[in-house]
Order: sequence, then C-alpha cells, then structure tokens
Amino acid sequence: MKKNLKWLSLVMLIVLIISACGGATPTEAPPEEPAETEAPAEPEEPPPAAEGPFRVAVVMPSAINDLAFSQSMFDALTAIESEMGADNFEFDFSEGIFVVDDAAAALRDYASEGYNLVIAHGSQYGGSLQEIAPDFPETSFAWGTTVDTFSDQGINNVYAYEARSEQGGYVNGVVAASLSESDVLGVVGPIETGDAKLYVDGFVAGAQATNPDVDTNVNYIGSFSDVALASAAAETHVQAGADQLTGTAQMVVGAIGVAEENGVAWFGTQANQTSLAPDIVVANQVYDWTVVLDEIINNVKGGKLGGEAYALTFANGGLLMEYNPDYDLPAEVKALADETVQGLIDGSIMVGEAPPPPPAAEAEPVTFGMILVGPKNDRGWSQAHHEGGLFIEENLPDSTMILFESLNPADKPEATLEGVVDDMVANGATLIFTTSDEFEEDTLGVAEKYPDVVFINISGDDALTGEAPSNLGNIMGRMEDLKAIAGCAAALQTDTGKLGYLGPLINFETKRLAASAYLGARYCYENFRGMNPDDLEFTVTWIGFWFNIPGVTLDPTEVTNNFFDSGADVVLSGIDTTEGIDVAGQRAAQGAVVWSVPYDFEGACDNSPDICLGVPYFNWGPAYLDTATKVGNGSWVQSWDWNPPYWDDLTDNTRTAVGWINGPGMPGEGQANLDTFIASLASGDVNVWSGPIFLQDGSEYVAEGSVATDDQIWYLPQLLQGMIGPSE
Amino acid sequence: MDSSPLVLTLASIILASTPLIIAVCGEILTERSGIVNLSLDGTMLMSAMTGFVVAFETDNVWLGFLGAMGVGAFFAFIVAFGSIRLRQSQFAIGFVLTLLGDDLSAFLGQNYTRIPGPVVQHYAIPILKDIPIIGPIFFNQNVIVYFAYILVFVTWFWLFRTQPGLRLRSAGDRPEAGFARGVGINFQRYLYTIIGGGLVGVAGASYSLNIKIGWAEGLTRGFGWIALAIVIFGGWSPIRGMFGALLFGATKALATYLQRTFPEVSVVAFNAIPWVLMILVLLLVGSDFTERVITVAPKSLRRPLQRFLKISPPQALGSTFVED
Repeated sequence: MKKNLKWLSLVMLIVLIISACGGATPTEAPPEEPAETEAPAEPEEPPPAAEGPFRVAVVMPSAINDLAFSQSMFDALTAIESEMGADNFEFDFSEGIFVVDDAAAALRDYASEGYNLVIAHGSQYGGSLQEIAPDFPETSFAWGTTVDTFSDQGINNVYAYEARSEQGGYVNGVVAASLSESDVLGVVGPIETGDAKLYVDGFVAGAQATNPDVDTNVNYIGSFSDVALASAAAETHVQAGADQLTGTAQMVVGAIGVAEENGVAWFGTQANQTSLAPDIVVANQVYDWTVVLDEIINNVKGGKLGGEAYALTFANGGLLMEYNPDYDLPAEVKALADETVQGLIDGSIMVGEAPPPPPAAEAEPVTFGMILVGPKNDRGWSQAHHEGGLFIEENLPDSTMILFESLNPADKPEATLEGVVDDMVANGATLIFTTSDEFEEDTLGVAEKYPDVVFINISGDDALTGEAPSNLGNIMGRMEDLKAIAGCAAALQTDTGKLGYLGPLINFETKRLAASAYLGARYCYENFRGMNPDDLEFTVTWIGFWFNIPGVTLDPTEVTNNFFDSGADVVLSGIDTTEGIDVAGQRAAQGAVVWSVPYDFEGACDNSPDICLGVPYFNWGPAYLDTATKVGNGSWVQSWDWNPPYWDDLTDNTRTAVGWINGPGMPGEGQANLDTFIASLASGDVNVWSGPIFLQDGSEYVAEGSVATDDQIWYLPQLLQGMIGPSE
Repeated sequence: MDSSPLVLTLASIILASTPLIIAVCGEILTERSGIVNLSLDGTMLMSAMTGFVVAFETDNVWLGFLGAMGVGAFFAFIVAFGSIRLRQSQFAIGFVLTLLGDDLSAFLGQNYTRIPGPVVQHYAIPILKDIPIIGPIFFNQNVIVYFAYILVFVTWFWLFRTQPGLRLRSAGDRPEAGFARGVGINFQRYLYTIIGGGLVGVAGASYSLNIKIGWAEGLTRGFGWIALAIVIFGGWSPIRGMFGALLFGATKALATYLQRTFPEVSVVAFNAIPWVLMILVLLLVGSDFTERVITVAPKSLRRPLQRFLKISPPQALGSTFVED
C-alpha cells in the first residue's frame, strides 16, 4: 500500500510537471562492516586470546557524535585507548544501528572475529545478545543499560552496566529550580522508559525538593529520534513560561536549538552538550564509562568473562557534573549543586530508590502494574481490564494501579513490554498483569528477569504447558459458553439466515471463540427455529489484528458494511473495538433490518441499544482481586485459570468471570428462547461442544456421543465444517 | 429488490465516495484559479483528526465539521500565502504541509485513538427515498452525501455558467487577460484556495465522522493523493471528477468482493487494485494515446470523443502572477 502510494505520488509529480522537490526517503544506513582481520577466523570458534592488543568492539544505536548516549561510550573507549596505548588496546565500532536485527548481525560478526570484549550499547539489544553469547563462550560481552547479566539462565560471559542517571537529573533539577525566575521548568523526554525516565524523574524530584512552588512540565514526545517533535515540545514549554529546559536522548538537539533561540537555559545529560549552545547551557551530567570499562577489561584479562552488573554513580566517579565555564552561575547555586552531589555520594540524599516494603498485615495493599494493548476507554477489551484493576483498588484498600495503555506497535512503536515492566518494577510493582496474547512471549522473558514479581498473562497457556517460571500464571475467562449464547441470539433473530463474524487475527483463542458462536447458532437455529442448521451461512472475516490499524488491517467498518451488503443481517464482533455495533446502528437508522452482538465490555450495547441482541463480556475484577490478595499475603502459587461463568447470575460482577447482558433489541419471544438455552447450558443439559463435530477440512474432531475436552477446545486447530472463512 | 446485495453495495459505494467527491470539488476550484494545493493528504489527516476531536469533546458533529473546515482553510491559506505573497514554490509548500499534517495529526490525536465517538446521523429524503432502486441507493443516505451531490452541481454551475466563475477561470487560464479586464487575480486565487481547502477539510471530517468512524494515526492516508489524481483524471471538471471518485469507490468495493471470493490470494494484492487502476488511468491520460484513438475513430464520432477524452489543465496552473 505504501509502495503504491509512493508510485502514485511519483506519477502525479511527473504529470503535474513538478520540479523535483520531493523529500528524500531516509534510507537505513547499512551496518558498518567490522574491520577485517588478517587471519580470517573460523566462524563460531574464536582464536584463543593471544598476546597482542586487547581488542574491543562496540555496537551503538546512534552516531558517535550524537552528543549523548553513543558518544559517551565512544569517548570512554577513546580515553582508554590513549591511556593504554595503541599497542595494547584497539577498538572497532558500528554506529547508527537502530535496527535490532542489524545489530545482532554485527555482534555475531565481531564475536566470530575474536574480539576480547564485545559491547552491545543499547538496552534493545538484550534479546539478541542472549542468543549470541552462549555461542561464543570464550568471548566476553557487555550490555547496557541494564542490570541483567543472564547469569540466572546459565550464561556467564555477559557483563551488565547502567547509569544511575536520576542522580545527575536530581542535581540538574536542583540547579534549575534555583535559577528559575518564572518558577516554570520544561522537560523534553523521549519515551517514558529506562534511562530517560530515571533522568526525568530525578530532575523533577530535585526541582521539587529545592522549591516546592516550581512547576515542572514534562513532555514525552514518544520518539528517540524525532528532532522536529523535540523542538515543537521545547517551543511549547517556552510558550508556557519555562525559563529552564532539559531533556534526554539523541533527539534533544532540536530542543537545544529552541532554547538557544529564546535565550532559555539548558541542562544536558549523557554527554557534555555545551558546544551545541555555549551561551545557554548551564550544566551537564556526563557519563564516564571508563570507570566500568576499566573494571571489565581487568576482569577479562584475569579470565573472568561476565556475571557482574555495574552502575555509574557520583560515588564511583562514573557520573560527573560538568559546568559551562562561560555561563555565569551564581556562586551560591554552584555551592548548592556541589553539596547535592556530596549528599548523593554519602547517601544523605536518596533518589529513585524503591520505597521500603510496608509492614505485614492481613489484607496487604498491593502495587500492581496493568499493561493494556489498547486505550483504557475503548469500550472493549482494554476497558474491561482497566475496570478489573479499578476493582482491586476499590476492594483492597490502599492498593495502587500503575497503568500503561496502548502498548502496541501501531501506537507506541518504540516502547517494549520489557521497558514498561522495568519502570513498573522500579516503581514498586509486585504484581503485573499483561493483558493480551500479544504479550505472551515477552512476558516469559520479563518473568525470568524479575523472579520476585508475579506476572499474570491473560489468555496465554505458558503455565499450562509448563514453559513458565513459577512466578508466571495465566488467567482467562471461559468465554466459549458466552459466545455460544451470542451465536444463539444471532440465530434466533436472523431473517436471512446469514451471519457475519468480525474476527481479529487467527489464533487458537479466536478460532475456538468463533467456533463456539457457530455451534451455539446451529443449536438454536435447529431447536428453537426448526430450521436446518446446514442452511445457516456463517462467515468469518479476519481483519488481521485486535483492532483497526489503518493501512495494516482490513478496515472493520468496511468489513461490517460488506457483511450487510451481501445479505447478512446479524454481525457478531470478535474484535476489541466497537465498529461492528456502530455500523449496524448506522444501518438501522437507514431503515435496514440488522442486528449486532458486540463483545468484551458490558456497556458495549449502549452504543446502539435498539439493535443490540446482547453482549458477552469479560469481568476481570473477581479473578484480579483474588490474585492481588494472594500476592499481598504471600499465598499466591502459579496456576492456569480458565474461569467459568457464575451460572446462577450471569450479571453478578462480584462473582462471575464472564458475563452476558441481555440486549434491548431482542424481542420478547426470542429472549424467552434465549433464556431457555442459557438455563440448559447452566444445568449441563446442553453442551454445544458435543460430537459429532467436524473440522473445516472434513476430518472428525469429536466423535458422536462424546464431548470435547478442555484441551480439544483450547487448541482447536481449524474452524469447523460449515463455517465460511480461512483457518490460517 | 430494494435490499438486494447489489442495491446495498451501490449505496455503500456512493457513501464511501462522498469524501473524495467533496475534496475533488474543492481542489478543482483551487486549481481552476491557478494554484495547486498539493497538501491534500496532510490536510485531510489533520481535518479528520480535528473533526473527530472537536465532535468528541462537544458531542456535536457539526462543530466537528466546522473545526475541520477551519483547519483545511488554514492549510490552504498557507499554500496561497506562500506562493502568492512569498513567491515560493507552491509544490514544495504543499508537499511539506503533507508531511507535517501526517505527523502532527498523529501527535495531536494520540489521546483520541480508537475510541468511539459521535457519527453523522442518517437522514432519508421523504418521497424520493421511496422510488424503487434509485431511492435506496441515492436518497436513503445522510446530509453529507446530499451536500456532495449539490456541491458537484453548484461547482459546475459556478465555474461554467456564471460571471464570477469566468473571473475565477481567467485567473487560472489567462491571468494577464483577466487582469487587463480588471480581475483581481491574486484575490481570486486566495479566495478559491481557501474555499477549496475548507471543502477538503469537510472531506477529511466526513471520513472520521461518517465513513471510517473514529480516529487512528494514518486514518485517511493515501486518499488525499487519490483526490489529486482524480482531479487530473476528471479533467478539472466537477462532474467528471465525481465519476472518477465513484469509479475509485467501485473498484474498492470490487476489491473487497474479490477478497472474499478468493480468500487464498493475499489481501494486499486486492487492496492494490484501485491504486493500480488510478496509475494506469493517469498514464493513459498523460500520453498521446488518446489523440491516436480520436484520429482512428469514425469521423462523426471524433468531435464528441474529443470533447469527452481531451483534457487540458488550466493554462497558468501553478505559475505565479505579478500584478503590476
């Protein structure tokens, strides 16, 4: 699609005889090839470290002159080189490797060429390094910024390093608050994660501690590289009256430019940024990695290849405050800054430490993280989880939820689950819910990284298969029964005998839910309507993700319209958002006789009540509260929960895991039949998963006279015979 | 019959084509006056975002349209001001605004992503809606659709049947002659660029409030370029432009239909069909192929064919005019 667009615009430009003015498409800089070595080594088998110089290779995400993260490492290696002499030390580097796959290739190349130490200078490279390091047991690796050396996974040739950037952030905050006349400070941050978040939080804390009246406006622009956006953010701060600005990561050059134009003071971090704007830079927190590198190099020389984690602090000299000599900093402010640094060194000032654990009691309050794949007010999947979190806060006094919304590649392309979890843990979370199957794999990784934190992945099966470490559990509601009710409602109401199912992406969960709806529809079509269930046309269209991503998925609005255009009169939604019922509402307003069964959220009918036949919804509150309570008092043990509905009352939100709200659009007679169906499901008289059930390819899945097992339902390989739509 | 799949599909095509029809009319007004507003793609994204956000906050879709119109007019004003007053390349300005609109709409709209909001309410026209077949296709729609029909007619009438329309075209075709006759060329250009931009704004909002309800980054990406292509395809005539937009809508519907019929073929292939068709048409129109068709046609057909196929842009399109 994008390619076509480029073509089209090209043709347009020609047709319109436009002088070439197009924006050059930025091309991905190919990773710099590591320097050739004279004797080509056997790949995967580095030559033993011989006499020669100590050889280091480093892979960095941005340029070596970025005046920030990458430059700080480059400068440190240069310093070590001049200290040890070119005969004893040499280093190679690949810069600007923002793409993780390229970095992995570069790291592997370096390792196979027999470097003594290979540095992966970027927290995003961790996953690659974890795969590469075990292949080169004789090579030492270092990875930053992180605290994870993978030693708990039996890997012992990786060092970890990080910078306690909140310390310098605190000092900068103290100075900025002292200098400010407007009492307004501005911060331009990239993404609220990792090193950047530490720095920003430190800055805010320092400013607050110095002058409680100061307003510190923090703006995370959502990108590490968008210079223009950083300028815009800085501009906004200046408009809002800020007279002291700071920011972190590679894109701040834009913000510094704005600060200089407006004569507003700037505080740097990561590297000395004075040269960018000599008139307005006040102070910089500078990373000096030599402290860490010297130790690592000595260790490697001594034969120890990894397993330690290092941090730059003021105390060990890895963090330095460098002031701009041309800036007229009042002596008393400078003294205050020095005092603050001293306080951080001797521990009289604490910043960024996790709060001490509260004393034990009966019902322990819990700080828990809630990671959502969509926005918290989508009236669908994500909102249901958010309400589950609120349920904990209401019922477990003093508990706090740390919320992160819309973690998905379309909305927050540069954020990772690991980064989000890092922050939540740093903020004291002892329980984290990762509420999408999209997070299943990454949750495994973070669960291994933080063995003391309990993770609950929704809809996953790692605790069932035994893949999960003991601090990872799974929760899911038994939505299948409710989907059968949804299908029944649709079959009771359809005139045309054609049902549309708006499917998200194809996996076990979505296949078994669509199949359950189909089985429910067949049952009711036959037993209440007296029709032949084989005449029922049940079409599944998969849009490709849990919600609409323009240009990536099919547009659910279009798909729904298309269902109705081709004669379907009920559309059942299986996606996270509400397009299904919204479009049906529009159609009904046009006089069309159509109906909808939405999904996920109990209030979903409200969008268009008159055409809503009812909604199957998740009610996470009870299971979440139970988990939080057990985590709080230490009685939680790993489990895989597939929670059934509370059949006595499907709307009792204090008890049921999945519920059903009757739809105002369902006429009385249909409702009576539906109630009968629900009652027979509740009593066990009817089980829609009774054989014979055939798969789409015609093979028998459940034999006549038997009932599908939980495993058979959970791992349904294909859609069922009679359903129209792809199975993979 | 009235709710047969064919009728319903045709009605859907009409509905889905309205934003393009509105945008095409707007851009035709602008280009007929001699200015190319290349920023359509960005303008549409910005106005789609603005329209949704305003409507969401005020719970009033019409305020949403008003806000979107303002944003569209403002972007157009930048193009006009930059090219007329500052004498900069209008293509460069438009292109930069396209990129700006794309990113800025993503940034400003990020808190309104994928949440349900208000939509344009349906309004069937009494009596007309009861005509068999025609009624359900054309008159069982909503106010924005009817606005588009009227707009096409009004634009055509204004351009070709009124004095102000003549002045407008003189600014795009023979600015010197028009100026000698007392037409304020640059005033004309400012006026119609801004009006055109406002209409593009309405088009953007009718995506987020009517066709692709809601907001997400890149919601209308690509449709601005399509509108620009349709202006050329339609030979700067609103009526032909309308058919171009409908043809595009029809191929999109065809693509969706084929997708369901051949599920084993990749979705991407079908999604590309309308765009490929547009490129082919543009190439065809841009080559001398049409001339050749006309010369080999029977004599009696040549004149009408020539009238139908020959397309020439306004003579002074994209040039600056110095009033002195």
